[in-house]
Amino acid sequence: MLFSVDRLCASIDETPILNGLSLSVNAGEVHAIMGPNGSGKSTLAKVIAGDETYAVSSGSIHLNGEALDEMDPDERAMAGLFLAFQYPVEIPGVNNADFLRQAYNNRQKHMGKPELDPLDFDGVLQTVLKQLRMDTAFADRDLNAGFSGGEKKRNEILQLLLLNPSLAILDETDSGLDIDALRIVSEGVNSFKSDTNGVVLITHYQRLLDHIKPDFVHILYKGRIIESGDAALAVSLEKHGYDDIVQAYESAHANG
Amino acid sequence: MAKFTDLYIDTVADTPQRIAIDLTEQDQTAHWHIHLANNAQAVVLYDQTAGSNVALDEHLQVSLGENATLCLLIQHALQPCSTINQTMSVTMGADSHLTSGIITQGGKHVDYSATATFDATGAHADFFGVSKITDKNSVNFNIHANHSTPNSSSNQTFRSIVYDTAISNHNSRVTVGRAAKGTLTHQLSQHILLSKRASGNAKPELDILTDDVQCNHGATIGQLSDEARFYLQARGLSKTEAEALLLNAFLQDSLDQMAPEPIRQWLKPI
Repeated sequence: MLFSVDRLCASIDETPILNGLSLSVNAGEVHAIMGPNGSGKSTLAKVIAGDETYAVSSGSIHLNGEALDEMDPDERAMAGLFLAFQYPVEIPGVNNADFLRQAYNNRQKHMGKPELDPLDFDGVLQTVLKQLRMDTAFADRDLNAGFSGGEKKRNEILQLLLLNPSLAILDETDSGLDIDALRIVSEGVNSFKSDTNGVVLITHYQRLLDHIKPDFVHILYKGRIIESGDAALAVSLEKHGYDDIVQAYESAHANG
Repeated sequence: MAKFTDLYIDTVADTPQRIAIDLTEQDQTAHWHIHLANNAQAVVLYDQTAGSNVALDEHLQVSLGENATLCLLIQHALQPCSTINQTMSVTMGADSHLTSGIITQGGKHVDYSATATFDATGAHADFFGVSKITDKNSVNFNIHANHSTPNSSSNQTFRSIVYDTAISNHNSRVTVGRAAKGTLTHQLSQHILLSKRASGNAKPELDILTDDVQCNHGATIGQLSDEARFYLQARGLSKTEAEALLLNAFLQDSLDQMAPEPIRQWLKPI
């Protein structure tokens, strides 16, 4: 098992958001998590990444056999976790290339690999920029500052490819992307996929799943996964929406 | 002991002038006159290092001729228990341009006061202040832009990082006289407080006696963004690294604007 979440409960300001959620991802698998607005998808991503805004009351998270629960966000990143943010934060004054090199070298150091000086790192960076068809000037701009929505999302995938984690969680990476950008970003994610890592896609739309084929699709509702299936489930959702599944769940709960 | 120094510049200086002073005498008073002739251009870095228990009382008098351009940066690197009381008065010539920066760290108390008089049209001044204040120390930035003739402009931007029980005061004043139509001014004061007992005070004042002007001001006092820190940590930067990067970013924009490329290499890390 590459990654597992077991009966996770989390809240914010005393309001429960995740209510005993469990999820398992094996190496080489792509899991899509879908669900109505407010069901807890982004909360799940942030809680896994260690956002202290949320209080975790019970449950556990493991990656590569290592418990993440007591780790700070940076320690989770070092353990191989990557979260592509739904809303990447703009940080004026922080040079994108300097930040990327620091993040890259921290990971290299953690894995016992050599750190790169600015010149050598630039070579690595330019290769990935080219792969994502990003302007080389991108590296010299401030981190996400003044970036369009699409540029921010590409920058997240740039970081994903540079840091090469064990598990990537992509939180609505498709939002704000035009058709071409969606294809390029999807190609980037597909090039990341391998038999040794895993991907969790959080999305509202089937269109992303046309480009990145999921092995499993889960429906999140009221902070827990209420239905799982294969890629056909997402196609069905696109046609029929969540109503039937949600009503079935509510009826089952109403009947005890 | 009092010292008097005159600096007269009447050319377009190719290279920045660096005045490095290591303050060792316990009490001293200094007077500087910096005068730029018409059309002259200069970059001056005034680099002050002080040992412990130094008390400096310093007065700078700056005059810019017509169409003159001056970038004047004052940089303090002070040991504990040193105090600096620094006043600067500036007379702006027609179409002259001043970039004035003060960067201060260390020391027990720094009081920096600058007054610029705009009594010729077309003049523009940018005032920047950056401070990092620790322990029980305090720094006051007091700036007064006095616009008395039409069509001049000024910006005041101050950023301070305050630790422990330190105190920062940004007193930023603009006066626009009755004849000064077309005046443009902007005042911005920003503090990051890194302890519950740190203090940051922003006091923008606007005294406008005419119409047809644009004068705005803004102030922020807060802590480091949890959201930004989480983002950086999620990329594998430790909490300490993330905070250092964010604090540096908070000041960097001002440092980039105040210090042109040839002089930036001389700035001490803050």
